[in-house]
Amino acid sequence: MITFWKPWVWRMAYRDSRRGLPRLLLSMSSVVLAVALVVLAYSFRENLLASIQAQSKSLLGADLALDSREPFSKDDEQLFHTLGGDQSKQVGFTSMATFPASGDSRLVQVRAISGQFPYYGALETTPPLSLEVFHLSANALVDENVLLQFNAKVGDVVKLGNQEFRILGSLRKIPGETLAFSLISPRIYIPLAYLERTQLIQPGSVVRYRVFFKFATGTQVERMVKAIAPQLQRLQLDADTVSKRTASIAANMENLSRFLRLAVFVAVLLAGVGVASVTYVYAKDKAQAAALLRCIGARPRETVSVYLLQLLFLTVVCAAAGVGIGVWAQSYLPALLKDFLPVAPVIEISPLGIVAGVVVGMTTAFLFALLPLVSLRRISPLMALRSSYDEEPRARDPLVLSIVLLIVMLVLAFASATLGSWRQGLVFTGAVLVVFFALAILARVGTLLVRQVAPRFLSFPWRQGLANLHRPSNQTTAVMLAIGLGTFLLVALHGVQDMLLRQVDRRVGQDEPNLVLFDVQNEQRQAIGALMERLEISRHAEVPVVTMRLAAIKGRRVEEIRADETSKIPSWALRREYRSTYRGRLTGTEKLIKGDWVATADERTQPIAVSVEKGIAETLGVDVGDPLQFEIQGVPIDTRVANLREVDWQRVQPNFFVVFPEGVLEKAPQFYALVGRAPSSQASAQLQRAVLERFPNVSAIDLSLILSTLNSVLDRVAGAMRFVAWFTLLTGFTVLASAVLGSRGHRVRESILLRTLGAARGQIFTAIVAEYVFTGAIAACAGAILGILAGWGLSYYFFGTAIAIAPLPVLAIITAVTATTVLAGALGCLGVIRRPALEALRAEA
Amino acid sequence: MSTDNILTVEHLSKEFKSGDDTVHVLNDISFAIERGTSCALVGPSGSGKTTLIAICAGLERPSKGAVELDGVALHQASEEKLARIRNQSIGFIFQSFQLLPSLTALENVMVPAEIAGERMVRASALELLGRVGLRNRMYHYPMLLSGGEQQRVAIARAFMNQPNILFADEPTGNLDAETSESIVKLIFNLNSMNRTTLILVTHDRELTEQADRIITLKAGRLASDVTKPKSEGSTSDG
Repeated sequence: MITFWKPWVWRMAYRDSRRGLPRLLLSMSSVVLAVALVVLAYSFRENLLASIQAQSKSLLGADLALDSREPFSKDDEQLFHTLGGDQSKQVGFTSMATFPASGDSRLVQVRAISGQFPYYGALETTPPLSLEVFHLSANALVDENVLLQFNAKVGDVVKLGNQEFRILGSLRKIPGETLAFSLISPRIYIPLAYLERTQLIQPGSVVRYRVFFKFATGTQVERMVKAIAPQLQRLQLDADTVSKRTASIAANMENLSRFLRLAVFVAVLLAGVGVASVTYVYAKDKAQAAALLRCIGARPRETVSVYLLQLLFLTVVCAAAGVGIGVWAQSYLPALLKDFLPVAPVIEISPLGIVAGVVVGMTTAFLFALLPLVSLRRISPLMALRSSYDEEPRARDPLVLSIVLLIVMLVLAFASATLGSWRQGLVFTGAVLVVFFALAILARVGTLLVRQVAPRFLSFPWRQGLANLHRPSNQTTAVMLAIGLGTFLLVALHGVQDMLLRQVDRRVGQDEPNLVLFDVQNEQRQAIGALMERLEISRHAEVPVVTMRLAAIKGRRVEEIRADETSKIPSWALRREYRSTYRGRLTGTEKLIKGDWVATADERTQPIAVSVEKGIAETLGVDVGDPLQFEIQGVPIDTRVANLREVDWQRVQPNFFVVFPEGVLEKAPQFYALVGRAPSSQASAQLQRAVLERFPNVSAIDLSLILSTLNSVLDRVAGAMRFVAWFTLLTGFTVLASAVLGSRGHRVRESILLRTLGAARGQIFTAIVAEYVFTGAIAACAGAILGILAGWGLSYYFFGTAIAIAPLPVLAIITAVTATTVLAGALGCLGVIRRPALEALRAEA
Repeated sequence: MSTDNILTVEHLSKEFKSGDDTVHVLNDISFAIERGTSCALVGPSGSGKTTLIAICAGLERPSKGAVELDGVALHQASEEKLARIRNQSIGFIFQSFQLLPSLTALENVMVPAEIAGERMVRASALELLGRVGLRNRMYHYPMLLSGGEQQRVAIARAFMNQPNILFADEPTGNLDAETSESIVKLIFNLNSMNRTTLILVTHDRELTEQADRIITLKAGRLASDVTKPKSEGSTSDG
């Protein structure tokens, strides 16, 4: 099909390219963007993974960390002593932090540390931290987001439990942790020596105890951990090593990078559509020349090769420019994604990124260019004889179908390789095809509908603008697809964010609880109840909470399961502290899906029939009838799964993995969660202040905290994704620019004709503006419709109900996209109107 | 078939599908063209002239019948072979000149030889451009040339590979009377110098009169075939 080895093909390609190729080069600018994006995404991945490896020790901050859910025992301490090295301890838990200056408070993660931790890397603070000074007195390092939220500053006081701490620094970065995590669970570091004074550790508190080690250089930490594995098992200690932490962070970052690479690939495909569209016009322009070449003896494959060579050359030029831009831009990407990165990547030129950019960009451009170009081989030489030659209709070109199939297969292969799964690759490819086809169809239907309805009440220039959408070589569908895809991503992103927030807000209906107080001790219940009454906060429920651990599943000890490398039960599910409750009925947020509800039981007749949440049952691999053994403060209690429940976790009230029947846990050590409904956020804040003043161990979560946390997390996530959407839109506008350039000849002829027929320049300009108003608006509406549908689909998938998306922001996106389209299109056509008719006529003659 | 004939057409028919209908463009046409002669193909618009030369030049395949050019059965030849014949044995002159707009006059002339894989073709192309009087315009692009000049470049190109037969489809159709005259002269001069067989499709009476033979088509059928006697004329009505 292709003959590149004939010298005349090269000569002809070169000669033919001298005129018009620079314009074609501009038309292919989408390839520059696509290659730049691929270089960016792949280089980012390479640099990030290399940086994770290079900074691996600072990700843990130590050579080894050992974890326990219980305070360290004498045996634990003995083991630490044997291990030696420099040691630092950390006690972590969640609690309320109050800023006395403003009276504001919120739930934070407290980390009390001792020693010189972190041994590698540093806690980045403003001003820079001196650990010696930090440990000297009651100092605190507070997450900068919390300081910003409460308008607090370094030097102010923050109160944790009964102890006030002076804010020594604003915490910007913790080795191995992302900023996004701090939005969900902001951290406060305090010296371990002052933890006792807070009196925050109470019975039932969920606390994580850690010890960090720094060993002498050359110590074989992995080997050491392997050697003490049985002891760690016996003492229920978890080991975290540098390699384990690095692998886990690298896996998380790989996920982020996968998302980025796939998103970029969508833009690459869009650029491919742009290339196909430009080449289609090019092939049409060259049809006469191709027919002549055929007439004077060129073979079909030689004719195709002439034009393919030109496009390959252009692709190489575009790829080179794309590589340049990608390499230049890569230093800016980490800043954009900094909230999600555990390390600051060191930016270096990545050969793999460059190769990926060139290969992905050029293969895409080549295949998409080939689609319209192969038709040249079927051009009849008769076209040179008669310009009005009408070819007999031919059957579909099997070569075109083969190329389409090859493109789909390559997309599938790329997606599968990136996602590491054929199934996921298939879903991605299917989704891309559906979105592309749906947009193309919506745009086509929209154009036809407008054409049917609008002309009746439009003036001449607007009717002409509308008719221009059907101009040959106008590439209307490709342009609409490109612009529509960008709009789709923007609307879908906005829709998901808006929908998630509104879902949460809506779920907390008129009579639903919107406030939960945790860790309320038995003796505090009455006083807090009175406070709630005084502030007119209705008390919905007092839920008893008993903390327990899993001891055995289906007769197999948890230690044994954890030691079994073939077990599919994740470690967190085996090690976690289960906060369970007991009651005789289901709540409004629960639904029985299997088995029978058991309301009461006798603790002496074990196994006790318990209710297990569906998700955790799947994680633990248990079903109705299976035995589970729990331990409450060392006392074993045998249970059997009596039923499985589905829980609506999105309500503001305590939900539980395991619910016991009444009559079993009443005498076990327990605390309470108080669920209420505050009439206003002010009342809720007032209650939290009053409760914290008297009972600092109590923590509170209210709806406003959930919404603000959700909003800030979504804002950051959407920010990063919006970058991809804008790039897609930018690719769309490069396709538009290509279309404007490609149809310039037609526009000039049309403009001459209209002016000959007496049209004023103003009318021609209005027709051009009208054309782009229709193009932009129809494409943006098609994208928005698909974006809203995607939002609804996600809403239905995650919440079981579809929710309406706020129309005003969607309208704003449509207007902005339309306006940009008009601006870009009209600017590209200015030369057409400015050109004197006589000059244009001569040039066209 | 006579060995003096360069082109032989026997019982040639061509039909096209147009929706459910079949359009018979050419019906049972037979004739032979003697080597080195010139023949004008005339007839009203739609009579099938262009289709006939398209088939004779291997650009189109007949529905029925046989076409033999220089001993090669075109109706049976492969696309590859047809391309080679078009390149090496046939020259074309078109009504709308058909120059490649992105190539200079010189490059346009060189193209057929380059397709044939020949090297050092510049001198021959320059010589041809000189013969058509455009040597001084060799670096000009087609859009900078007048219609007559463009057709001269096309004529030079048609003779570049020294074809055995030249097909000219209304070569003066897009030119004014004065330019047409000079083009006609040029075609016939080059034709006699190169001893090329010439087949012309034309409405131009002057052009027709200069041809050795005139074949007239009407509604896809051979209406008349008149050969002018070099000394004594002979006529046969079809």
